[in-house]
Amino acid sequence: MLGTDLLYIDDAKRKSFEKRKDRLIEKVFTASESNLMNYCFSVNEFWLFWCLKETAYKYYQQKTGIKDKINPSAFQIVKITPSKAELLLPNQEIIEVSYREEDNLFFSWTGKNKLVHFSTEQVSEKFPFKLLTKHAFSQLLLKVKKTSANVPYFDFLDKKFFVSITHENQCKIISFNQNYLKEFNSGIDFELI
Amino acid sequence: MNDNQLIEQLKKIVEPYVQNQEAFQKINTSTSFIEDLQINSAHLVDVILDIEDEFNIRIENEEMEQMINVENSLKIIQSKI
Repeated sequence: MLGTDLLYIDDAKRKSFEKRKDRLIEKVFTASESNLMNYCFSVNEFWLFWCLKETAYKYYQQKTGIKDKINPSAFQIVKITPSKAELLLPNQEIIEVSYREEDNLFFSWTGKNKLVHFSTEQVSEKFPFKLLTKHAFSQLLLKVKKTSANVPYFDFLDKKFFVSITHENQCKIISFNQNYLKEFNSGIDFELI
Repeated sequence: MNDNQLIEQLKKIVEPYVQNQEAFQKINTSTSFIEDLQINSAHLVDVILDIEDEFNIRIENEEMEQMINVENSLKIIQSKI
């Protein structure tokens, strides 16, 4: 199970926050999260917290198969450091989420398993990608599908391999659990077709 | 206010956030905000707040959770106006 999110703080997000900060905070955060931030969120902190919650939501969606919902306050940040956070999920599980920040861009991912990230301006779940197996030296074309709950995966050897996809503007990132690669001694590459 | 009138008002609210214009032109009660209109999840709360402003209503978090498509949103709005 894994989740990722990519978020760029553009003018629209900045203006939205400035215009109605208090109401946004009320919809998105619990009282204890506001307390964690001493009731004082900057625009960057607000969107970082959103990014972390979205990552936890995607992880939870993979784990439970729940359909799309909008309830960011159900994914509660209980601890945050400059590179990691802990979030409490609706099932009372606590997960670790790592994050990076650069030039108003946040990227976060669930931290229990080692993930492999592919980032490109061209990759899209609509396009097939190659799975390169070292044993057979063969190349299989795989296409990301989605479960009825909207969880992305690809089929390989009659198994479902879940991935996490996030995109913001033209940048898209697909993340895999590194264990998948070990299991099949394989590598993965993307190619537009 | 009937469903068609509500949908027209809802269209004006979601339009700035829509990424799939083709789905937007065919909007109907079964249209999903995320899957069909491809509204970025970060803008979903903006949509909810815009709905509150437009209809002068308050949407609780439990109701917000259900507002992932036009049909559910219409039901919740109708129940409050």
